[in-house]
Amino acid sequence: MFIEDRYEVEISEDISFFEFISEGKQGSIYKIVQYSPTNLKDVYNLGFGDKNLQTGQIDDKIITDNGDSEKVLATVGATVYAFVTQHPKAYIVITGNSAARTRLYRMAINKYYNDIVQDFYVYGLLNGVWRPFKANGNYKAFLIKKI
Amino acid sequence: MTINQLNKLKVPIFKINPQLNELAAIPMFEEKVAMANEILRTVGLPDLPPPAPKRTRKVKKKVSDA
Repeated sequence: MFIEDRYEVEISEDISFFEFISEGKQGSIYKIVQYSPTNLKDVYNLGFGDKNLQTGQIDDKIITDNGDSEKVLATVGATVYAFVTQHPKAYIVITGNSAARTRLYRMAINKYYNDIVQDFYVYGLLNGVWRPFKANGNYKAFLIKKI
Repeated sequence: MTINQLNKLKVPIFKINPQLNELAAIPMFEEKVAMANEILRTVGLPDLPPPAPKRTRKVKKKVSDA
């Protein structure tokens, strides 16, 4: 079942900023999820990255390799559910920094697709057009919206 | 929305931490937001499927005795 194994998450009061700790072979790594408004009303960007506790900087390009990627992605997925409870009209845009990262997002959506589509419309951006998500699409970005 | 309500949903255990409010106000993924804005500017939003029609119950007409 979707998001069974996931981390506990601390959230801001407006339910737009999430923080959790990934525990794995590289140790404890602080993860950040932030939903930021875009230029369009009710459309938000999902930002996701590691927080460097020493510098306070956020790195959304790093590949952590902490051995818990499924649990981390499930936790990020769970933040979507939390966010849309507060913003039920929201469209959420998800982009990767690289083809590999975007492919990882596609695989995560694909893995939980049957559960996700019960609650969300899911689109992938292919050749400049939003198309209903399909497993093997070579998408540039994703967009989800609560049904 | 309360923590109790949230935790009853399909979500993990969430704990509100007011200390994060300050961080929430700081845009941390500006590059990604810029990418999203560019996509939205050039592509826009998809057309959502029309909502499923509401089911209506057929009411049988009573046959009058007249």
